[in-house]
Amino acid sequence: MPSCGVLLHAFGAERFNYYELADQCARLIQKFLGLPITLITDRVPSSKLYDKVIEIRSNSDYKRILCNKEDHKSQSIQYTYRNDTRSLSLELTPYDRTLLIDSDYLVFNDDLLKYLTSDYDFLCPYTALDVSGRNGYSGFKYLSNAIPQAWATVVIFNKSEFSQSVFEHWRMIQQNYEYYGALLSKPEPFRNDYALSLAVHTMNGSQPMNEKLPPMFMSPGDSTIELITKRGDIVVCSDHRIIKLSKTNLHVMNKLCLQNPKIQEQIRELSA
Amino acid sequence: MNTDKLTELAQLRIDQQNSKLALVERVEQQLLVTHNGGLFKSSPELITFLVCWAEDVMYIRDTYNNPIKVDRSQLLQDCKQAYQAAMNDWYCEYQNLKKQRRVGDI
Repeated sequence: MPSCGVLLHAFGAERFNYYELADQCARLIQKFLGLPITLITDRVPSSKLYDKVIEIRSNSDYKRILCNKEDHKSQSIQYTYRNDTRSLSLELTPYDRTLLIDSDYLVFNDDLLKYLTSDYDFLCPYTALDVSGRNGYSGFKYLSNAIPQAWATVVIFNKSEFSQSVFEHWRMIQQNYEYYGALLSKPEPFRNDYALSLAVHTMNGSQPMNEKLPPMFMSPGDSTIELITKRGDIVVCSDHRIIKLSKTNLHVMNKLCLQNPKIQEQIRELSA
Repeated sequence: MNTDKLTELAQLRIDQQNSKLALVERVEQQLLVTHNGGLFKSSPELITFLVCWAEDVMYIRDTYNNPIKVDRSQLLQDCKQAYQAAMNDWYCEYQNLKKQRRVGDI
């Protein structure tokens, strides 16, 4: 029986406490997916949420600015974007079939289990849905008008030759990002979404992948999570709009609202 | 009705619509069923097709357009279960959303 589990990465990022975000993410994974979790980090976690912890150092020192909202006030936050260990996921994972997710991706249902039990080697989403209804991610469809944009937020992979080739290419793009960034007209600091998009597209014979994960819900940086109920309802406030989601997985770009003690407590209660 | 009330009602419709659209996407994902390594979307058409077919082993195209060997009765059972659960959830959530009369209720 092949083993199956979840891989999370968490590294310090000044105002964004990715260690805490990973803990919350792990609580929800335990509750809704019931899978073992491995954490890749540079600090031994205090919680007992993880089945395995792999200590590794991030060599990234990219500075990124993200607009987040706290107490209904927008802030531009500069932080060190330690995203360089993701491309090592296949090398580091202890599982035959792995669900790699961002620590700011909240799981509120067991839908991802369906994809984990499918036979497909490598799956990731290609569409991001803006929960605010403003279609804020509609421009993220193609890189250089040619390569479909994939999202590295949620990736399911096994240890097949295809998956290995994607990760190897991903790493190569990362190591030579000056060249690939110019090629993609994305000269900004390295981003896994771009590297993954190019790697998958290239290794699939320079054609779009047929197999993909369903559209991913994203809550933009200027949206805040106002409430998470014990039923799994999520209330998001965005630009004076209120959106209610029910048992829906959500990628939260406003990390500050996930660090709000009230929301953390609600996640604890839901996952208890 | 004063302007504030009219604005509130219009905003409520926008919020309800956004929540409904998110709900539809969620239901789409609930309808999915994995079987023998393939992924199928439970639909009235697929359920009817599975009911009508006589043989127990058959080959069907999954949502990724790949042929999958399926155990007809098992897939039928899974599809019916997923369909019923998704529609029940959808109905309940939709009724809840319809009941909202103020933005604060959402």
